[in-house]
Amino acid sequence: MSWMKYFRRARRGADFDQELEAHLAHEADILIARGMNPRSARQAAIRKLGNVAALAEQERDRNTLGALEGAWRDIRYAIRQIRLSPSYAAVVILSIALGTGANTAIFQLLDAVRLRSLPVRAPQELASVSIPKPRRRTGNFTGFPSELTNAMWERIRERQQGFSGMFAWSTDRINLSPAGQARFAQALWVSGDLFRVLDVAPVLGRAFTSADDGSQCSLGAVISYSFWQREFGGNPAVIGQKLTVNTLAMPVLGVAPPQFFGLDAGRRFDVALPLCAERVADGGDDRIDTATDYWLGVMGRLKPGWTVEQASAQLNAIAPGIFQATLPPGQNPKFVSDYLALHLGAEKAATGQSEFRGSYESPLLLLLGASGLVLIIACANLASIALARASAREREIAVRLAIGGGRARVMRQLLAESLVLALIGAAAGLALGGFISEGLARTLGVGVFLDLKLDWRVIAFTSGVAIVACMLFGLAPALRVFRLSGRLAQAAGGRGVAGAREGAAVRRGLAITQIALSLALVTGALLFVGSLRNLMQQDPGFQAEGVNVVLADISGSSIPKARRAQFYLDMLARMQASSAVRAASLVAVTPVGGGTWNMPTQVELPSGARAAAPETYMNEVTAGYFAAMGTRLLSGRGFDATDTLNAPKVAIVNQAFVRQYLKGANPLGARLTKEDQPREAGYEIIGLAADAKYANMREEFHPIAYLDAAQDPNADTEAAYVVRASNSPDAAAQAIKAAAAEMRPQPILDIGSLPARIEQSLTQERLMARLSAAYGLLAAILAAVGVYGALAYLVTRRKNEIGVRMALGASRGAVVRMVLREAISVAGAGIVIGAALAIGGTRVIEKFLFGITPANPIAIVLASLALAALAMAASYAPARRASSVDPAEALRRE
Amino acid sequence: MARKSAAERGDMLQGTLDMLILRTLIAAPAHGHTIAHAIESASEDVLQVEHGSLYPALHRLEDQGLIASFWGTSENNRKAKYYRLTPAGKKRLVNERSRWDELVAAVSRVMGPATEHES
Repeated sequence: MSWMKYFRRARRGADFDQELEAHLAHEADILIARGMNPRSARQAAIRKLGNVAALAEQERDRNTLGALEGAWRDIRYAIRQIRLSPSYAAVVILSIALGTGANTAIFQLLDAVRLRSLPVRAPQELASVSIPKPRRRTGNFTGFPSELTNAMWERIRERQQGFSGMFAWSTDRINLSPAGQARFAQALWVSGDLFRVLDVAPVLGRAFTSADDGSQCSLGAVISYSFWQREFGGNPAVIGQKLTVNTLAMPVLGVAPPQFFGLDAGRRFDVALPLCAERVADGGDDRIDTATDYWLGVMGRLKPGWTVEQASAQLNAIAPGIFQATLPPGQNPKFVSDYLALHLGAEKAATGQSEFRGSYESPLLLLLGASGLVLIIACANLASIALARASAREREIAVRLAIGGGRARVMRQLLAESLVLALIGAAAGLALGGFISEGLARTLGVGVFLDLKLDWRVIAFTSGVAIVACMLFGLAPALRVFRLSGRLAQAAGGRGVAGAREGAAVRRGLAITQIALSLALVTGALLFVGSLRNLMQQDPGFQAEGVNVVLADISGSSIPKARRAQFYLDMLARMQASSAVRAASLVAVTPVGGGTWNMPTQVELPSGARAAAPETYMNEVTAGYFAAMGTRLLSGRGFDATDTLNAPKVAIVNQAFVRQYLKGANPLGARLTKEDQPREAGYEIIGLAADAKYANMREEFHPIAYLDAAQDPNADTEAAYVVRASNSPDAAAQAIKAAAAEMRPQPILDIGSLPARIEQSLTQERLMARLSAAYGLLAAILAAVGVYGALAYLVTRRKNEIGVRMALGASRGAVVRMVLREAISVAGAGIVIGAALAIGGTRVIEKFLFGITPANPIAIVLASLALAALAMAASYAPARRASSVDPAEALRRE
Repeated sequence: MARKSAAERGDMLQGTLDMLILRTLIAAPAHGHTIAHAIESASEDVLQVEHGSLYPALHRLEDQGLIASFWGTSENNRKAKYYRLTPAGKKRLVNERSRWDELVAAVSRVMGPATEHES
């Protein structure tokens, strides 16, 4: 045998062999020259070389990077092990891919909405100006962020010190169509400095400068990259082309870079317009000159050395002067004291401001939690499988420990195997998550834009999830190695009886955990589904089916303000003349449109008693409203043709109004006055209407006062109608278009159906119900698999015992009962723990629920029954297997 | 198995073998066997290089970039791995030499002139 066997390693090892061989040859040459025979010469040379084995070991150490190479070897070994059992690998990879995919998808949405900074230079320097709560602002709130008025913004810009540059902005919807059917786009009103302060350079043409927004307002637009691609096919000749904005022609000045979506995460602007253009583009109802119009958000870049806190303190110091200077004239004392009590402050705005964030942040966090639980349940199954594999390899591991393999070394190898599987699964999950999150973003509705790209946060999150998953399912078998080392002889002997019992206990524990977590998830899902059902099936106080909501816009036409009201009434009359229309009405606040108009009112009953109605929800409608909406009039009369401009003013209130403010007194004949209105200017209450939803489907019925639009000479450049179709809503829509076409000037129309509006207002609820139901179902299936695994293991382990029992006279029924008893005890324990979890955990979701209490006993009982049934179903196959054990065979083996 | 570093196991003063290798290579590139015998004959066979510890020392020096290796044909017409001094190795040798001289001088001062003491 040659010493060369010590040197079989990598190429460097071979190199070393050759070097030593050369050395030996040279040494032998000398000895031979001195007269030694070649054979002894070589042996003498080897002797002189010293301890070759130690030398080789030293050389090996030199050629390795120690731990790193150990890790690489572990990974290669792991890959070999995985290839030996492809079905195991497939199950693990698929489970982890699904688990991490679901988690990644939700996280990606959260990342886009909440965590990612604006795609501009040094976003951490940005701060937004706000009026801190508590605050009482009275006025019109339009667009987003609707934080400040233009007058406030101009004073802030003049007097602030902490910012090197500031800008104001607001989101809006504009109409691109010059006539006929409206075509809407997302607008971004910006002050001239926005692009300079954010350091956003246009890819084409020019951005606005402060000169565009100065005393000489330049009516031009900077369009977004995506709008440029969509509307102009990316044509570079777009600069100077005219764009119709609310029937006003504006030239395109420049194109913003592709990554700049605006400042509102969750929305993407199409057209940016200078603030000053609002004066002309909004048809004379300019918000820019109205001191009670809250529509702007203000942001700025902090000066070097200034912190947000310092800037905030400076803003608050100048706030009293600013509010004094911008106080709108002619307001009542309450308004003045509220207004002058406002403060100013600044907060960090690196992630922009987001309307979407407010409504979706907590649902997304909740869903992230739920998908995390699903992953844990999936990992419990994987742990169970990995445990089974580890017991199959018990002998191998015992032998390795016996011949001196370090425990840490063996554990490392087992963990490496789990890690490789987890990482492959995570890579697949990352890709899957992208698909899922895009699908989810689409279901969130029209106008929602989320920049769902992979960034380091998403990748770090997914890898983190995968590593945790790996620990969850890889650690249990690895830890067994520790215990195993104490039982070497036993395990090597062949039958690891004690180990098997332990395995059964662990599997039982895992199955109980799975049932418990699934029960919590299924209960949550039932609550969400129940909420959605409640929302859809409740009586909203109107019949949405067959109703169209029509917006008519005349902002582009030169129709005088005084004639607008009559114009809308004329158009209403033309609609009502069509046989396709059963009933139609003007409406100031469209039902379930999200907007509100509320104010304090007073009521003087015929008896002379007075009552205050501090929060009256107002609406202005015409005679056909209750017929069009299908809302019942309970007493008195509706508006009719006698209620003209010059006739006494009349109003109708609803039940909630009577209940809350009139203590159930008969409202008919009472007098309703707006705050600070003289008694003579008030409205006589002529009717009582049934309760109906006002702004959204979730609200409690509000106290509503309806006024007659025919008695109001003031009208906006836009009006809304509700139209009930005689037969089909489509035919009614045709009739509406025909009516509009006869009008001079022709209004621009937007027709939508009320059911679709309601549906859209419930997007979030539907998303929660669907996703939680999917998660609940997945969790329940995974738990059933877990129960099956635990029972199957039990039956396999006790096969001989069962055989002996049967040989001693136990019936098959008794054996089946034994398995079922086990199933019942696992399911029972899981259900008890799960019910406790559900009672505690569902409080978190209380605010998302509608018409259902969080720890709802029916939901918990239903979920328990479902899981118990699943556990029983899962025990069928193991029970059958147990009952078919052949006693003779079992005895032979024993 | 417990491992010892080359220096612990070697008979020579730590670092001395490295210095001797560098010194030997200043004349011309050489392969391991030549280096061992060159050190032995230059020291008039006082210093016996354990051949087994020579190669780890050579590889360590190579890893440190003080010497470089190449395959060549030896005087006996055999394929052998040759080592040559790199510029870094030359610089190190200069440093080692002055350090050694200082050490020798210091030790001599401690020991004193041998003859005087005996007389």
